[in-house]
Amino acid sequence: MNDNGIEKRVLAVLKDTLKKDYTIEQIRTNGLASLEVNSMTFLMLVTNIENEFDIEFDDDEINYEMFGDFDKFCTLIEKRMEG
Amino acid sequence: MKLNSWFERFIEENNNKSEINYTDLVSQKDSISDGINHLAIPKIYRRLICEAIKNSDNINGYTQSEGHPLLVYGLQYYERMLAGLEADEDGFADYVRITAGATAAIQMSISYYANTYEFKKALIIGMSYYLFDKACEQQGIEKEILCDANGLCPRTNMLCKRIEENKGALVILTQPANPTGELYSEEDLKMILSSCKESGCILLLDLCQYDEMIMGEDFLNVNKTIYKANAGENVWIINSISKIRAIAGARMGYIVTQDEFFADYIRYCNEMFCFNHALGYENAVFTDIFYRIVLRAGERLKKKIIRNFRNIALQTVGVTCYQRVFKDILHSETLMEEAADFKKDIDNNMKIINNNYRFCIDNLSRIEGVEISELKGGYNFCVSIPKRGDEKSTIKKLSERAGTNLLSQKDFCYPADDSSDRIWIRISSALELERFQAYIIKIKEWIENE
Repeated sequence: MNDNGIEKRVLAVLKDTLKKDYTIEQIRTNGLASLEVNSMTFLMLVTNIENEFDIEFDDDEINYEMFGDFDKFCTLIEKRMEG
Repeated sequence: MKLNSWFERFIEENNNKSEINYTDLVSQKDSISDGINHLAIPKIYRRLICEAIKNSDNINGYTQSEGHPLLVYGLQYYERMLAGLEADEDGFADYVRITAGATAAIQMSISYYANTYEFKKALIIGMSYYLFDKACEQQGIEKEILCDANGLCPRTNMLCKRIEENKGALVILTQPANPTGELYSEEDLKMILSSCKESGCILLLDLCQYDEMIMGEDFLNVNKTIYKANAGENVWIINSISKIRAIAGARMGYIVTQDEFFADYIRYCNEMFCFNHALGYENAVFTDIFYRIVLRAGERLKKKIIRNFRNIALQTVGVTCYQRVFKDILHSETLMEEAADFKKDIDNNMKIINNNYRFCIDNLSRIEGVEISELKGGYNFCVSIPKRGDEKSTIKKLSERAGTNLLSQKDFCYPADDSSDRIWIRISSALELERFQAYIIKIKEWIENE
């Protein structure tokens, strides 16, 4: 589990992009994949996360599966932030 | 009975109605009057189209019924950005559908209106592309052509009055006007939008030659005007890539709408009748949209835009195609120069168009009785010539003399009446300088000698 604020920032991006409130518990239980995203909002979600953390995911990382597990997703962000 | 008797009858009836000769259909598509952009294809298009063919990118299949997703997402992003929205912000361009040229878009728009709206009447503003007229006829829609006394676009007050008197009508407006090249101002457009909204009319806005790269400083941001007027529900936009980028054969048009059912209807038509747009051009068009957005937004938003386009490409064409086609374009160290270079190709074409128009003014406007409409956008404008006999025979004589098929006002929904002593002909100035000038000289000689 992350305790460096990444989770909160991801949550804020989710809220901004999807115009809905989620709790960390909800997402941890149901997974990011359960969010109501269409192709366009998925694209925006990825872009907004990249913008928020000023990172870039690898070309082959960007797919719906990347959102499968919230903690893993936050760890991935952390890894990208470290370069 | 002969199987082709219906078509024979059709040819006989329609050859008398229009300047278009149905027994010689190809002739009008290569002339100074054909409305086609014959200028140079931008270099980036040439490179990416050739590479797409070489790599068989998508060409060996049909595209999705809403259009290739690169184009759907890319154009939606662009149209929303013009309206002042974020790529994922609803409220404008909620549905973008790619069509086989603007022609298919016109047909589908008019047939959807005819089958969905109770009040079946079209108000066609100014002389307009004959297909609007034909499609209304085919769909059983009553039509009214609104022109001023000289055959040009009507004043806004008169136009708005007719809109308000025809509640629920389909109002057809081409900007810049085709064939005359006229353009309504932002204030005019606001008034038209307001009248349409109040009267429950649909404004079918044909922007096929309305490109911000071509228009430069004169570009009026139509999307923003519509969005600010909260009139998106009352507007269907028809647009084209193939016209503005000199790839008429690509048949690449699109529709922007807020009407979900209309968007579904287009998908249905594309799917059922294989009206899908051509493939092989999407990488070039996607890059074009990317350059447009980058040039408009500038350095400040560059990083965000690159990420958006990268993610669209990765999600739609996959990692392999992204890395082969787009990675170098999007992440180029000289991105702004490359985008500017693309714009230069468009500017060079615009110079030719403007020089051709100027040549016409210099050579024809001093002849008594000749008038030239003001080219405010696009590349079509009109020249009025003296009538010798009826409209059809005059145009036939002039076409023979000029060695090119000319289209006159009867091909733009507005035949010259018997009492008129002049006829408007359409001149398309997106033609190589020497050829264009040679035609104009012949037209000049005919007018002077006749």
